[in-house]
Amino acid sequence: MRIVGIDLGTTNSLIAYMDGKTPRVIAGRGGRAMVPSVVAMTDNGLIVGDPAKEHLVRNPARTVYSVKRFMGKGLADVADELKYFPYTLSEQGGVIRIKVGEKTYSPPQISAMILKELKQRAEAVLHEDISKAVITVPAYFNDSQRQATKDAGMIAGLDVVRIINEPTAASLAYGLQQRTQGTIAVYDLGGGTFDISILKLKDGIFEVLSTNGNTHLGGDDFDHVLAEVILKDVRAKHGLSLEKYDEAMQAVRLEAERTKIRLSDEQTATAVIELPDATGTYRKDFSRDQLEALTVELVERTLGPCRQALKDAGLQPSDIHEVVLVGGSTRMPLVRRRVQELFGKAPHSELNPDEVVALGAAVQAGILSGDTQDMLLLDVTPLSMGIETMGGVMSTLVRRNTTIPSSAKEMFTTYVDGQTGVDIHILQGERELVKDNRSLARFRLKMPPLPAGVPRIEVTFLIDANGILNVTARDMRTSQSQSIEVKPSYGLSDEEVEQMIGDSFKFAAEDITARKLIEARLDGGALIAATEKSLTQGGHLIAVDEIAAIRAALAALAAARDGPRPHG
Amino acid sequence: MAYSEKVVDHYTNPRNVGSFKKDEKGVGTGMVGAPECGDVMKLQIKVEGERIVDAKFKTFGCGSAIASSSLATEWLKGKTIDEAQTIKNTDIVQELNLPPVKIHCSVLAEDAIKAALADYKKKAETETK
Amino acid sequence: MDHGHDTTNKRTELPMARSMCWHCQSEVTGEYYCGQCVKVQPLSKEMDYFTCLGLPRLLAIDTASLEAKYYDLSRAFHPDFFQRKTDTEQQISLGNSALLNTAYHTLKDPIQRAEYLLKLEAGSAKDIRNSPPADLFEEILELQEDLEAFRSASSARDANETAQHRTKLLADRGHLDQRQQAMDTKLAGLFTKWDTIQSRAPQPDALRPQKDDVLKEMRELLSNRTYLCSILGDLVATLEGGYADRRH
Repeated sequence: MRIVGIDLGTTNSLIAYMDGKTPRVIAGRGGRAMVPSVVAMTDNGLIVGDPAKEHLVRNPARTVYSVKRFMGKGLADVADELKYFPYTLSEQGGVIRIKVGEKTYSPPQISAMILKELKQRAEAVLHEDISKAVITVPAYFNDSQRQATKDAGMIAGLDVVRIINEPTAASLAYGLQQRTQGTIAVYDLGGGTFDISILKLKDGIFEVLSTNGNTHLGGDDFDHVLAEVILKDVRAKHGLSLEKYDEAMQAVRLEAERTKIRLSDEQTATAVIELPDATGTYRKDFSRDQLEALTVELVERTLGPCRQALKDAGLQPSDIHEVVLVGGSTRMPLVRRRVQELFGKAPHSELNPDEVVALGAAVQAGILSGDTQDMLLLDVTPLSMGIETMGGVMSTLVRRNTTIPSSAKEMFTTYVDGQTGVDIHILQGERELVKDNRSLARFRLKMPPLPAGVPRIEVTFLIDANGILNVTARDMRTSQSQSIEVKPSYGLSDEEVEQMIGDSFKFAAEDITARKLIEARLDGGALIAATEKSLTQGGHLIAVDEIAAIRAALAALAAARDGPRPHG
Repeated sequence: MAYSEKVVDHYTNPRNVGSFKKDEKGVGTGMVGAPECGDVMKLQIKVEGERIVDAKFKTFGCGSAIASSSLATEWLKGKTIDEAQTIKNTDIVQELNLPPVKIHCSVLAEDAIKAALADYKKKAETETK
Repeated sequence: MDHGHDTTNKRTELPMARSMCWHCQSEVTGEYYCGQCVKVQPLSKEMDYFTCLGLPRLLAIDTASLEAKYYDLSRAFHPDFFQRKTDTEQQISLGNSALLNTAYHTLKDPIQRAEYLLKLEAGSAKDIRNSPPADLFEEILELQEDLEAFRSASSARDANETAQHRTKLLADRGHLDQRQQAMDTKLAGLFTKWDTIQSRAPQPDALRPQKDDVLKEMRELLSNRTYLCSILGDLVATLEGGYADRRH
């Protein structure tokens, strides 16, 4: 059974597969491999990717983007970045809910829509059902964020056979192509997240030595800095507060992104925005120097994690043989310069930084399906995992940068005669106090009603190859294993996921209709354009009544294309 | 549940930080360490007659270790040598409401008291001889 | 590339959890895989890390061959290679891998290796309470005051004071680094001592008093090293900024 590799990105997503010994990304109808991670709920149904991107400005309240920033998070976690998000957020059971029109979705459900789009794309090209996938996540994703990604896969009808880290996935693709041996650093600055991983490559083994990062730092933040300048300038010049206009805010954000991208190749670029209420057109010139002065602090924030990763690996910058750049944001010249200064060598970028993660996911898929046997990835857990002890202190069980799979055992007993349970709170993070770390989950350990101190329950905390925690318990006196019901602090319950899988099937038929309509409209448009062109070039060669018939057909087609959605 | 307020208070405003001259008359010095975590504690008493008139400490370690030694010096002041002998780590645990993972900090404080008292007695013996 | 495991019947030194294949009940004696049905077998949970990596209980380890052995065993046990197998086989592979990872990383680091040996041999070397090294403690406490002074000077943004304290701390750091190196040299000597006795008398009870002497000395040195490293860690973190590793 084929396993595909998926890069589920903040800004763009891709799907790839192994074509023999070579990983390949799968392009869509337009020839583009990248699918913008944007979902629009239109009157005509759900649309995903490039066509959905057009709705960002037209219909901002019903168009969801950068949903990855919400995965595995509560509302309080994202409070500081709500300004640009036009949709209404709420929280239920520790999970963010996004209100779009009449319906409310969890981030895994939105992500599942993107995954489905990718799945269908692969099925169309490979002519087979796709049901198994390797999905990548930022290396610094915590347990809740990983679990949310797995949930998204399930809702999309995919068996997520493995979650792997984006920088390590990139190293697989890079190592496969370059046949590198030695120590490499992968610097991955994506749309919303930053990761640094240090790996040792030897004889087909890819051993991660350390990893670090920031799941709240990426290209989006660079866009926001430019957007702030524009917003302030518009207020000063036109007395307009664009914050009040959802559409204009999206236009500013997208134009800031375009300007940033242009400044990677050009020394100057002009941002152009149509102001609302027929105020006119706003223009502002930006120079690369200006952009760099505005964003130098953001780039600096990536260097601290790099130094920490080096330290955790016990290495100096000079010990790194090669530096590999991943993620679209590494196209910025300032990023390249600072990375080069830190490591003292020019970074590599032979592989397309947008595609290398998806390619690596496909390589890992090849390993899991047994087709690739000479490569093996040994990854680490990015964050320390432990439990709360009395007094609000975290007691660490598995330290950060421990190779996974890894397990730790802890014995629990009772303090009071007849006590029937012990509450256990699992945490992730590097700080001493519980309140400064991330709450992962809670569960209640059942105890046999015996005198205090007599029960002995051994709990095994196992971090699997996905970096996801599994908890099992065994009564040492009876050797019976105990089933544990772990309640995630920031995750969907099993029942909720089940429900969402059901919903997803229910709406699938509807979505397919919507999708066919969009495709038919695109085809219709292409046909009209081609016919018009032929008529101009060779219209004089055919009879007048034939031209009239063609014109009539064209008009009918155009009317059908622009018409409302057929009912039934 | 957070760190108990008493721990935080003793940690942010530790009492009796400092030291006496080691060879000063009536001074007993206890120097102990926890090899598992690298904490180091120095606790000194100053005795006049049978009574501890002053106590000082220096601790390199976590908040609980500092709070434990701070509390220990507070308790020592005004006590007789014999009374001081009876201070137990469990008293410190109770007073500061220390969590189980921090109990070794109170053990360290008790060891430091014992060591300071022993040092004082040893010195007193040689002085009277 | 040949990645070295003949899955059908590889003889190893590894103690397995059971003497019978969990699947086909045929006898297994130290194979990773059952000779009859080729199913992966669980490693014994009581196995010590030296045995796991096929090493004698010695402290001098050739890290290159340790790594080669680790990679070899990883190729035998890693869950990636059991994706299409049954749930039981996946669980066994997960457990074996977790054990192997802990074993390798414990032995790879010389300090953790020595601590682990002390734990293994604890039967006779338990409860070694050494007299605390008073001069080292005095030094640590003094250094802590210097650190405090540096921190308050730099938070008060007193550039002159900060620079002065920094110079002193840098000198202290150099001094501590030297002491740590001296300790490491001494530790290496103890490693050799242990290895000599252990090679001569590998049976646990043989030459026990001599062994315990070395272990005791090692215990003391490792404790002192912990004190030193913990203040050195604080010093480096204070000088370089960034986040200090959590203290317990």
